[in-house]
Amino acid sequence: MIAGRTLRLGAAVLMLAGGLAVAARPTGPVPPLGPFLDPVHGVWAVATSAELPRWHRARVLSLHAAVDVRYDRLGVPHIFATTERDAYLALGYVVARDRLFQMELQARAASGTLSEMVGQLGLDRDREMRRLGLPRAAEQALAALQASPSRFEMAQAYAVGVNAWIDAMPAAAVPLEYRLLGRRPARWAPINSLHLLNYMSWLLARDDEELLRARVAARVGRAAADALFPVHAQIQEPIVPSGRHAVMTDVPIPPPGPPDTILAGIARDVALADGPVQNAADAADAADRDDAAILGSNNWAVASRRTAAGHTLLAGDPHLDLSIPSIWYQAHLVVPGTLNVQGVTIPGAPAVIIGFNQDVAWTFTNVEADVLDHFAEVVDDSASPTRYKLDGAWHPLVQRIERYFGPAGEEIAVDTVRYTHRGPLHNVGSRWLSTRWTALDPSPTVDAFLKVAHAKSISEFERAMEEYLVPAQNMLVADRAGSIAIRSTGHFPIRAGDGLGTEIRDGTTSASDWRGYVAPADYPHSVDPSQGFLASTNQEPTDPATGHGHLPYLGSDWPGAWRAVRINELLSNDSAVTPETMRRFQTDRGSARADYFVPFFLAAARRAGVAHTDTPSMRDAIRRLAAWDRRYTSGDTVGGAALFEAAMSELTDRVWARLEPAPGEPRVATPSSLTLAALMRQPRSQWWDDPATTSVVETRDDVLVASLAAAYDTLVHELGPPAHRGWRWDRVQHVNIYHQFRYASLSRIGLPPQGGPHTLSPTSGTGVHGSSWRMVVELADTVRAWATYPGGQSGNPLSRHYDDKLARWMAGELDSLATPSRPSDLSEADTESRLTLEPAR
Amino acid sequence: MMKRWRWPARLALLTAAFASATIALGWWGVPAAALVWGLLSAGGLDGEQLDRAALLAGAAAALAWSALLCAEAWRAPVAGLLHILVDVMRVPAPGLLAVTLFLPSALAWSAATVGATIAPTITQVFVVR
Repeated sequence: MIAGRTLRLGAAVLMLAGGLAVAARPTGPVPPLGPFLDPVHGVWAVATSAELPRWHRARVLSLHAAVDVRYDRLGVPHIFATTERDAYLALGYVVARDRLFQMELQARAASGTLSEMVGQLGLDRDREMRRLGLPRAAEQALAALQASPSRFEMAQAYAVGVNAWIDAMPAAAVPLEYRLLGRRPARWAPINSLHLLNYMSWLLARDDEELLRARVAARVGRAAADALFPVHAQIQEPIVPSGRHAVMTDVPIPPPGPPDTILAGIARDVALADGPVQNAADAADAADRDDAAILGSNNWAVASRRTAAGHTLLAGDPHLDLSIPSIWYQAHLVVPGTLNVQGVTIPGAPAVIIGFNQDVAWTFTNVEADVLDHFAEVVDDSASPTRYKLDGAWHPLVQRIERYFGPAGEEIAVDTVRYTHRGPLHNVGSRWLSTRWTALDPSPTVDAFLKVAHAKSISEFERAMEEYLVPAQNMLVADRAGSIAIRSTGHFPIRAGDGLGTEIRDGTTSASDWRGYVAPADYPHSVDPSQGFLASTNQEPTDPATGHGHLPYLGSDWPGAWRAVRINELLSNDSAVTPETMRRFQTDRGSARADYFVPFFLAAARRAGVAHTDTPSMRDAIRRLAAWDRRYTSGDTVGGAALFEAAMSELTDRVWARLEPAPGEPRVATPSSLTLAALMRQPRSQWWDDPATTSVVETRDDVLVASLAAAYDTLVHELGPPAHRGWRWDRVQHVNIYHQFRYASLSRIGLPPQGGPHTLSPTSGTGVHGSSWRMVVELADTVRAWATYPGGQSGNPLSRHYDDKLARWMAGELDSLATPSRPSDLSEADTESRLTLEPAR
Repeated sequence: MMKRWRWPARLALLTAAFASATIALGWWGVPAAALVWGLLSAGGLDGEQLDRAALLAGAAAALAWSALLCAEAWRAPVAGLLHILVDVMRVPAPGLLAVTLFLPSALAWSAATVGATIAPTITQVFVVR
C-alpha cells in the first residue's frame, strides 16, 4: 500500500517537474510551452487581436490634451491632436500598435544588438554594424540633440507613445514573432529612431567604390577598371535637364590589361579579412550587380502648364528591398492651424518621410552618392594597434570595447573597435584601413523632416532640407502654386587631389582628409525647367558635357539611365498629363534597355548569315525576338522578354568572363549594362574575344549570336518548348516579398511581376527588390492623392490589413487617400476604428 | 441517481475551474488548481479513487483548454493561425493541437496526484501540531 503510494507520488512528481520545466523554460529553439500554448494569453490569442476594436480608449501620461485617432478602411490612422508634440506621441502609439515587432527588430539590426533577440544568428550583422561605427554614431548624434532639447522633443514624445502602447498592450496583442522567440517587447528609447535612420544610410549610402575597383584592377588592370566603372555615365539623361536626351558618350574601353599587383594585394587582403561567408555574399552581389542588386527609385513631377487640369502633379516610387510588413507605414497627422501632413513613415521614425501637406508634395530617389572612403593607415602594432601615424607623429586610437549578448543575457562575443580621427579602423589582411563615412556624422535628419511637414512652397521645403545630410537624396518637390523642383541633397565630401573617391587614400597625411562638404548652393538643382517636367531614377544628376559651372564629384558608375530615358520619353510625349496617366506610367512595361540591345542581336543574326543561323532553334529565336514588343507583360505570347533576358545573361557572362577569378567562379564585379551598351559600339574590342578560344578572335556579332543561341537552348531546357506561351514572362520572373523570418506562411512569394529589369517598375533576379511605395499627388485647391504599397498596415499576419494592399499593388492600381482636416470629415462608414488617447491625471 | 451524475458533474465543475484559473492566472492556473483539487479530494478516498480523481483533473484540464480554444476559434481566425504555426514550427496540425491539450492534461494529472498523495501527510502534520 505504502509502496504503491510512493511509486505513484514519484511518477507524479517526475511528470509535474518535467511538465513545469517544458512549460516554464525554453527548450532549444522552442519557447516555454506554458505561456506559448496558453489559449487565453498565449500564441492562440494572437488571432483574437488581428483586427482593431471598433473603439478603444487609453490614458497616456504626459499627453497635453485628448487625441482622436480615426482609422480609415485601409487601416490608415488619421491623428487629430491639439499640439504637435501630442500628434507625434500618438504616432508612436499607433505605429507600435500595428508594427511593434518590426520596430524593435529594425532598431536592433541597426544598433548591433540583434543577437540579444535571436542569438548567434544575429551576431554577424551586429558585428558589421558596430565595426562600421553606426551605433557609436547614433550615441554621438543623441548627445548632440540632447544639447538642444527642443530639437529632440518629438523623438522623445514618440518614444513616450511607443512605451505607452507597450505598457497598455493586452496580452493577446503581443505580436506573434515575440511569442515564437519566447520574448517580451523591449522598451523604446529615443535613440532607436536615430539607429533606424542610420539603418537607411547603411542600406542606401555605403558604396565601396574603392574596393570594387581594386578587385577589378586586380584582374584586368587599372585603366580597364576605370573604364568599366566610369565616373560619368555612358548614357546621359541627367536629372537636371540639359536639353540633350539619351546621349551616348563614345569613350573607348581599354582592352583587359595585366593585373595591377598593388591593388591585387589589397583585393586579396580584403578577401582574406572578409572570410568565406562574406566573400560568398560579395560574390553573389558582384555577379548580380548589374540588374538585380541595385536598389533604384523613380520620381517625377509635371508643372501645372503640362497637366490636363492645370494642377501640379507629383509621382513618387522608391524601390527598396520588399518586405512584409512593409518598410513603410501610412499615417496622417493633423494639428489645426499648424500641421496637416500625410504620407509614409518608417516604423520607429518620428516623422513623415515621403508625403504631402496642403501646399507641397515631396518624394525622393537615392542619389547613389559616393560618401564613403577608405584610408590606408600606418599603425604601431600590426596585431593590436594603439596608435596611428599622421603627418609624421603618432596619435592614439580611440578604442571601444563592443560586447555582444545572447537572448539570456550571456556574453557571446567581444570586439575591440578602434577609431582614427576619420572613423573606424579595420584590419584587412596585413593592412589597416580607416573609413570616413558621412553616415557617421551627427545628422539633424529628423529635424529636417519635421520642418518640411510645415513647408508652404518649394523654397521653404528646400530651405528646411538644407539641414538634411545622409543618405543623400534627389528631393523632388511640387507646390500648389504650380512649381516643381528637384535638388540632389545631402553631404557630398570635397576630397583632396583629383577630388574623386575611387581610390584608397594615404592615411599617413592629413592632406588626404576630406576638405569639407559641397555647399547646398552647389547641389545639382533645377526649378521649373522649360520642358515642364522633372524626373529622377538614380541617374547621374548633371550632364558633365553641358558644364553647369563647376561640377562636384558625387559618385561614379551611375545606374538608372534606362528608366530615365523611358520616363522622359513618356512625359515629353504627353502635354496633358492626368493623375491616371501618372499612375499608368508607374507600372509602364516598356524598356529603353530592350529598345537599345534587341536591334544589336537582330542585326548580328542577320549579318552572321545562313552558316550560323540556319537551324530551327536559331530561326525561331530570331523570329521571337523580332516579334517581341519589348514590353514585360504576361500577355507576351512570343516569350520575347524571357528570351531577351536569357540572352543578356549569356552575353554578360561571356563578355565579362575575364572578371571571373577562375572559369565558372562568380565574377569579382559586373560592369553595368550602360558599360555593355557602350561596348556594343566598339564591335572589335578585345573584350569580345573569348579568352578560352586561343585560335579564334571573336567579335561582337559572334558573341551576340552565340548568346542568343545559348539562351534559346537554356530556356528549352529549363521551361520546355516555347509553344503554348510556355515562355511567358510571369513564368520566368516572380516577385517575392519575404517576412523577416522568411517563413512561407508569413511571406507572399511567387507573385506576378509588373515589369522587368530596368523598367519603371523593375523586377529582376530573385524578385526581392521593387516598388515599395507608389504615390501620386495632385496639388489642386483641395489636394488629392492616391497611393499604395505591397502589404498592409498591420504587422499581425491574421489581420486583413496584413496584405490587403497587395492585390491593387500587383495590378498597378492605387488607393484614393482620405484627407480629412477634422474628425467629422471622415464619415462613420469610412471609419473602421477609433482610438481616443486621453491624458492620465 | 445522485451517484450516477456525480462524476460528470465534477468533470464539468473542474473544467470550469480550470478555464477560470487559466483566464485569471495563465497556464500556471492549471497545476495550481489541480493541486488544490488533489488536496481537497483526498479525504476518505482509497488508492483507486485517488487515481480516478487525478485522471478527472487531467481530462478536465484538456477539456477546459479545448473549450477556450473553441471560443477563440468562434470569434477569431484560429485556423489561419494554425496554418502559420504549422509552417513555422514544422509540426503537423494534429500534433500541435495534441501538445496544446496534452500539456495542461499532464500538468493537471500530476499536480492532482501529488496533491492527493501528500494530503494525508499534511493533515497528519496539522493534527500532531
